[in-house]
Amino acid sequence: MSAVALTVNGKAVTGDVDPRTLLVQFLRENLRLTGTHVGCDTSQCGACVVLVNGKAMKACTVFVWQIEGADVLTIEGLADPNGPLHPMQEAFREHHGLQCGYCTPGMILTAVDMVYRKGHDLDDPTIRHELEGNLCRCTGYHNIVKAIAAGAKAMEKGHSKPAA
Amino acid sequence: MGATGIGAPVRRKEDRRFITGKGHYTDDINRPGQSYAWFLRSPHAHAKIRKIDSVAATAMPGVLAVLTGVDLSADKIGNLICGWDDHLQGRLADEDGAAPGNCPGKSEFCR
Repeated sequence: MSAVALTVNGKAVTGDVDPRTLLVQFLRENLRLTGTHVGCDTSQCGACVVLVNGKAMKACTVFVWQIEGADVLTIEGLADPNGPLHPMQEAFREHHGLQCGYCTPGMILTAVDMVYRKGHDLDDPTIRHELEGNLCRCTGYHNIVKAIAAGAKAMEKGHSKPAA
Repeated sequence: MGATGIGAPVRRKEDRRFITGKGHYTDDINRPGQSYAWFLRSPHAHAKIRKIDSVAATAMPGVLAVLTGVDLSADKIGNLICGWDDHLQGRLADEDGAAPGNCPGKSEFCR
């Protein structure tokens, strides 16, 4: 077992884990943050995407000890539970960018990362290319692309990339 | 499209929990004393299963039970959706002329 300490959704967390523990297991099983999903177990589907130090990362590709001390943001921490939704969450709802919702947390966090890197004016080809690591098997990508374009614009008001 | 009534877009009631990570999928369920089932399927479609030796698997630490198709029939557990279909037992019995419940079973994909 090995001790790990990191920040998850703004809170300091620690754990004593088997060194083989993946970040996604730590989030889901130790912290019971089940909004981060395991869709494929093989790093293809993107359902497990979280932000690690502000960058999108597939939580099934990394051992939790590898990101010791990091700042992790999961879907549960994107907006204050008692406050308004994050603009990207709002955009997914408004543009019907989800049905079953399984891929949605990973889609939303990938989209937020996309805005941090590519700015607020995202065209369709850019969004579609950037989504190559996220699979949706029920909604189809059309409304997801529309939601991300709208969410990116809406993020101009106070939701730019946080200072490193 | 009108703003209200027939043809108007409707905001889905279920979306909020999905976009905030509060959905509750099967894999998210965590009850006290929860145990886990794992389905071992034949790697060969439509193969006849002559024998299942589950002694070593049953003896492994942490294993509560190993249930074969015959056991599921005998215990009247019945069909498990997407897991196992009781009718497979009877079908093989017909083909082999063996008594239902005593047959060794038959594998099928996607049952």
